[in-house]
Amino acid sequence: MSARNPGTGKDEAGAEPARGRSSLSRRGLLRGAGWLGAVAALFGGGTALARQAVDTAAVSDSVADLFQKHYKKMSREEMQEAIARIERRAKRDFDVAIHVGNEPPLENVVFGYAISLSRCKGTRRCVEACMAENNTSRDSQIQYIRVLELDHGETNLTNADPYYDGENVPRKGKWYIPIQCQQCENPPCVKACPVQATWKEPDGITVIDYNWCIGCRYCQAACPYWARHFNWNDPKLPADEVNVDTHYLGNRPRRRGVMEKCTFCIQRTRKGRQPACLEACPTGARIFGNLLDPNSDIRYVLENKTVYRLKEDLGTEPKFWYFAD
Amino acid sequence: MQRMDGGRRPLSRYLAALPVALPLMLAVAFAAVPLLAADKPPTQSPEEAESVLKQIMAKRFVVRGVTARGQTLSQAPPFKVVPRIPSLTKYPCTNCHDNSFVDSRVRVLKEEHTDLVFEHGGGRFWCYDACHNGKDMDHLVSLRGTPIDYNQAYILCGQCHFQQAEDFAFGGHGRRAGAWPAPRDVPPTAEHLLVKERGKIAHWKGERVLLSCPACHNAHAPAIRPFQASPVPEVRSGLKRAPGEPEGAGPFSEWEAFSGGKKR
Repeated sequence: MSARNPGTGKDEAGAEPARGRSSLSRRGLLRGAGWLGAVAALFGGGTALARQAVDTAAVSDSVADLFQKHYKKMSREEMQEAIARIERRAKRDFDVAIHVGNEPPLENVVFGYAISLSRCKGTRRCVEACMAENNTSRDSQIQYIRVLELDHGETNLTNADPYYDGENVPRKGKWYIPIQCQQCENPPCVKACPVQATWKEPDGITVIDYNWCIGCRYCQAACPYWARHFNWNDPKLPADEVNVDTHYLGNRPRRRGVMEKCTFCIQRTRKGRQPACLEACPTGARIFGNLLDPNSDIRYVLENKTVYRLKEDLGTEPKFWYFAD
Repeated sequence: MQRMDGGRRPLSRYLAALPVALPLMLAVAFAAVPLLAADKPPTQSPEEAESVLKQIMAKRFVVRGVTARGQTLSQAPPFKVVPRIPSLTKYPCTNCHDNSFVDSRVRVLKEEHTDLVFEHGGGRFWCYDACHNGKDMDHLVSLRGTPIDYNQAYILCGQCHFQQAEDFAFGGHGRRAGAWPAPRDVPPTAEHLLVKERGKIAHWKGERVLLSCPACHNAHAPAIRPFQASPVPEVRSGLKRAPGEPEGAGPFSEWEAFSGGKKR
């Protein structure tokens, strides 16, 4: 089923740039612009640059970033170079030696998530853990999880309060629902992206190539769950709070002007660990596992609890369920 | 088979048995194939998983003590629990309790265990009613009188809380080992989120190591108490506080009213 708008995006098959006409392709134009810029920098700003102590590694990294290919099209060597550049940049920006992993999706694994609404007490520990794990900016306070508070009997999420007072939760007469990326099986954000910088991985996680993202925020508008967030500024992180265990498609440090989102902690879950939000939940409301393993926690919940999905009528097929027990 | 010619001509006898023996051998060989292939993880293809779920949903009805797939508690995937005894400060109980003397009078404890609050079951229980055995203080006791190790307290709890016990065994209730502290002992705070705590690892695959019931619930007052939530989210970059909304006034009520349906 394809609900693709013919006016907005090209098809997967049609997106391959025409090899024979490189002078007209996006790559070719970019490359030309890059060389022009380099020449201009040499002649025009050369003296100004020379007066300051130029970090040549930083400049050459920036130039190389400009010519970096899409994640799916990089060879192994190009990928290693890209990762080395990211690690060098993190060293410059935050003075921390990070490790950027590139673990592939696990075989026979599709991730699913469930939250017990009767056990969620609105403690917001998941939000705190998520920020600590995913290196989100402490300055602009990007938070992948919004915990909403509603009155008993209220089910209309537009009447929810995400800024409730956290003194002695759960408060009387209230219930809580955390909302984050639902990892749709049919993700509208992926369809909206004009440059294919975001896609669904084989293990069901929708990821972003932060280097390929142009920051148009179409995906943010397309997402019905408010799960995508835009970096208006360069993320600011204290050095001692940087999580050094990162993934290329996950929690590596981002730049200004790109989107970011929950990736089910791809850097953890692809190694068999649990997402940080689940690990931090003090009441055990969160359940995570492999949808294809009949003995997994998540399959037990799907088979034995009365589960529902948010905005099911949109046909986005979230792999994220809510239940009460 | 009938005996022929006093045991002569053995080859033809074997040949005569071939029509029976060959299918037998083939059947044994095919039966062994799943055993040999048992090394593979027992995962399903997406279509298979979906069809199993649909079948279950189609004939779904609630039976106590049995999952939707008809499994009983003993058929749950194998798990271990984190031992409880190392965190019991007064264990072994026989240091003080003489197993020969049982004082089962309901009273206010004034000398020892003064910190205990008896809220379980609305205060209906006394120590020896269902859980402790005055004759064998170092073990808990089941309703039938068999001793239960303190490390296996979930067996005791599951006698009454059977639905929770089933959820616990199959993965629908509780937390795995390596998670951040439970509210029972330490309400987790921001310090636990920092780098030094990241060495503790909880896994979704591999061996299941679960936290037993008393890790989160105080057996004498099991309800989780309300506690302080993590900080209120900041107003996000790019959004503004509504006019007249005071700085730091707790929950923001008015701003983001543009999102449409906010009614107060």
